[in-house]
Amino acid sequence: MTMLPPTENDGVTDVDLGGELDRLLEAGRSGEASSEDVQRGLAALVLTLVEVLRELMERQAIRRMDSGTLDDDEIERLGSTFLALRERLEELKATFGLTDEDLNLDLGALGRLR
Amino acid sequence: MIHLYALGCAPLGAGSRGIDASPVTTIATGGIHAVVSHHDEAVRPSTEAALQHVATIEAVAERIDVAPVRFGRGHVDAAALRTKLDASLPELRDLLGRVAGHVEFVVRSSGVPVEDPRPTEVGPRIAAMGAGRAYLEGRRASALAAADERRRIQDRLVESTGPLDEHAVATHDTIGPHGPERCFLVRRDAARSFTSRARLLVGTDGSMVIGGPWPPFSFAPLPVPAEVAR
Repeated sequence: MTMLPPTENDGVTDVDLGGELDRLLEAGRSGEASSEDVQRGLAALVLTLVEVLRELMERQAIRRMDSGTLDDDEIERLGSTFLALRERLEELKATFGLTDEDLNLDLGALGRLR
Repeated sequence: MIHLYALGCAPLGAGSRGIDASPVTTIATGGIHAVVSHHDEAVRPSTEAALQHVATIEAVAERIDVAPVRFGRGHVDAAALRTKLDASLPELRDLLGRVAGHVEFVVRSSGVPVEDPRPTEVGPRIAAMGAGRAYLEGRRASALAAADERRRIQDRLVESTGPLDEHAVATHDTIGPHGPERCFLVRRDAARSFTSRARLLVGTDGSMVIGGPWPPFSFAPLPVPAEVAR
């Protein structure tokens, strides 16, 4: 079994949200996609961004827990906020009929979001 | 704008083409020959451009010994590039001495360890502290479990590929975009025999995949930053 050439190994990310947004809007303008499709596509882009930020912030919070720079109240407040955000994201995904795979961003050299 | 592909040990004659079929030339400083192409604007990062970048390095490496440079965003002009290179000449010469004339192979596990995005269940003592803390503790437990799994796969990879070590000049263990990887630096003239040995080894173990030969990026952490075009 053989691997593909090292595009990921070359420091180039496949993230192109701007390009994806342009394609989506153009598809809506040309009538190639219905307004519902465009709406769902936009929701996927926005939720993907929120998911990336949530993931990064959670990791930072866990690092700070490990380093002992958060007290018990701060840990509880942060955890509750992330938990609520996670639940809200799940609701929004259900509303727009999106799955985790729809938000599974390819971060190039960093791998996939999940 | 100058796009940098590699650092060479000798000047490159005419005839090579790079990204968007642009002519590839060399810019010399301190005995090092930077392999470059000129563009009106910085080359936009894309999978296609990255593949052309790698293909150009591979083609150039057939003509002169080079150390590859990862895809960057361009240098403003020859003077700016020379300034960057001159600031690190001893390190760059050392690097060329180590990797020029070599290729890289990578073996990785075909099973990708993925962190479970759901928080792991935590014990009643932590859960009693509050839902917020229990959530973060659960996320930490998921991350630690994924890290343990990566380490286990890495250890197995090192053990399984042990027979290849003596046929490589150097090895490098890393966590790539698809999980743990073991990279092998191999002399270009030994690449064919290494391929045979690696395929024989990997062929008996369905849990591994092999990549390469390609430019030895993993062994060439250049001290020259990819200049960000302004």
